[in-house]
Amino acid sequence: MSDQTPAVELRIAHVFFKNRRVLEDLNRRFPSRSATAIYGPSGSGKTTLLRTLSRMNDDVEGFRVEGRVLIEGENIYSKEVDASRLRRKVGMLFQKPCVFPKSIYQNVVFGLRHRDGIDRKALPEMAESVLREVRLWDEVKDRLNEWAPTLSQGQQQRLALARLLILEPKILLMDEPTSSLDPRSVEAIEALIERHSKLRAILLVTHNLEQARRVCDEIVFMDCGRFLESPPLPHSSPAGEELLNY
Amino acid sequence: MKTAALNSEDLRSPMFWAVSASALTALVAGLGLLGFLIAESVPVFQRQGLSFLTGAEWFGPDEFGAWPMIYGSLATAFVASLFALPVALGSAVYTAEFLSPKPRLAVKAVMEYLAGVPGIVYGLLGMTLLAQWVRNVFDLIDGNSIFTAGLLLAIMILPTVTTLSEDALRAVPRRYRETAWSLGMNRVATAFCVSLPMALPGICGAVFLGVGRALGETVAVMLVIGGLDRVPVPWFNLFAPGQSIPSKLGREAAEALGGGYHWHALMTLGLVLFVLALCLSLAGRWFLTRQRSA
Repeated sequence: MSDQTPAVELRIAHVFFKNRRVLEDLNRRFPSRSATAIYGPSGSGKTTLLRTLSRMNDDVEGFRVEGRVLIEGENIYSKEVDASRLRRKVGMLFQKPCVFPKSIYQNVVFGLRHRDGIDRKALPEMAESVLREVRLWDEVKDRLNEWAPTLSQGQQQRLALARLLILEPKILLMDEPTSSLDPRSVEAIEALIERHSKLRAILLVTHNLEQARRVCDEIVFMDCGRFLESPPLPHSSPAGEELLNY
Repeated sequence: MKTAALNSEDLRSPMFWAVSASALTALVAGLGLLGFLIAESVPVFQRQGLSFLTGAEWFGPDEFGAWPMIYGSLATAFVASLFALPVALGSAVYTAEFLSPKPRLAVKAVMEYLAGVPGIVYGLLGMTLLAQWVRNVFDLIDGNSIFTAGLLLAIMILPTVTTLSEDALRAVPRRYRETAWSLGMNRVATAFCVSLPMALPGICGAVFLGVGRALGETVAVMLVIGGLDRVPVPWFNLFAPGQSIPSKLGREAAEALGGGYHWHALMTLGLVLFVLALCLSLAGRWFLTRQRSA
């Protein structure tokens, strides 16, 4: 992929859940090494957009995409594209941290252990490296074999991020990753977004405009399933007023 | 028994006392049954001690040995588990993880219907079809054997284990599957490396309940097991006729009714079955509790 090829290119006419149109007329390119914030009120379609980019809604009854979603130039909704192969390039971090009922270490290397051609001897070193990346190493280095669900929510989210980063996805989708986290975890995740925006494409869904301004190269506004050229009017959504002040 | 904190208004409610009485009734019934079986078994243990459990001959009127029946029950349950569990688990994984909602509900409905079919219906089919098939395929003189009974039990418990295992798999929150997918794992890897391990306690519960049903099944087993109170020689020859505890009770309870040592021996068999089923039920409940608290 050349640097000119956008990491993500949307040519979406409509996205439906059964007969309900949830996204429409989304045309945009997202560059390969930058962080883009997607900002908008609740229900504006931000999460649906991220899930569409990682084909998370494939088995949701009545879900269908009209148009094309290009990841590195390939239409991910064409029949030839395998969803799991796609997701090796497009990692997604969910709003609510989800760790497996396993040890901290097993969680970090979970995705990697299920890949072919991985040097298993290198796993501990790789795990340490990503745990340092998310600023979790110092907190867990003496208890890597402890049960991951016992970690705090912020630690769990950083663990989930480490579990994704160890796979080195080219595109990172983050769905409100810092909502209701402690300041330390928020700071760690924001710093990581800043650093990694020079390495990969990051799409960050956020309700925090200050955060979007701090860590992202660009902010895209969404409302009612569409991208907006300018922030929505105050009366159209609760976020509108804040956007006007931006 | 510890109850939630109740205020005086709760204690004045007739509904509280009605449901309390219902709970007490169930408890009294269970304990009463166990107490009755123990009381009826006392003469046997007084006369024979533990040799009742290890004795190989069931000859009245003074000496009875339960070992052939205990062996028959365990052997048929083992054969049933051997055949039913892989199929039931495979079916549950496929239904829960790979079928879309409508076909899944259709499969569930059929399984739940089959789980409720009375044992006698399975027994008649086993007698007319399965026993003949076993006789022809394995070139036996008689198709009625421990193996046939086990195979029939496998067919009987298959729907129960499948539907309960499927429930356990579906109870794994979707977010775990989505997390695995987001790591690039395909559906097969997700099913076997994420869903199945997380549902394992519930699946074990389903297996124990299924095996519990296999242990307790009377009529269907009675029709195909052969009715011989002998441990086969060699002991692993499952194609020999045998006897299980429920089938023994089904055959002799009516003639022994009314007292006498024969009756006490049968009641002691009932106690052994009760204890076996109780152990399985407790094990199943323990696994289910673990799953809920996970």
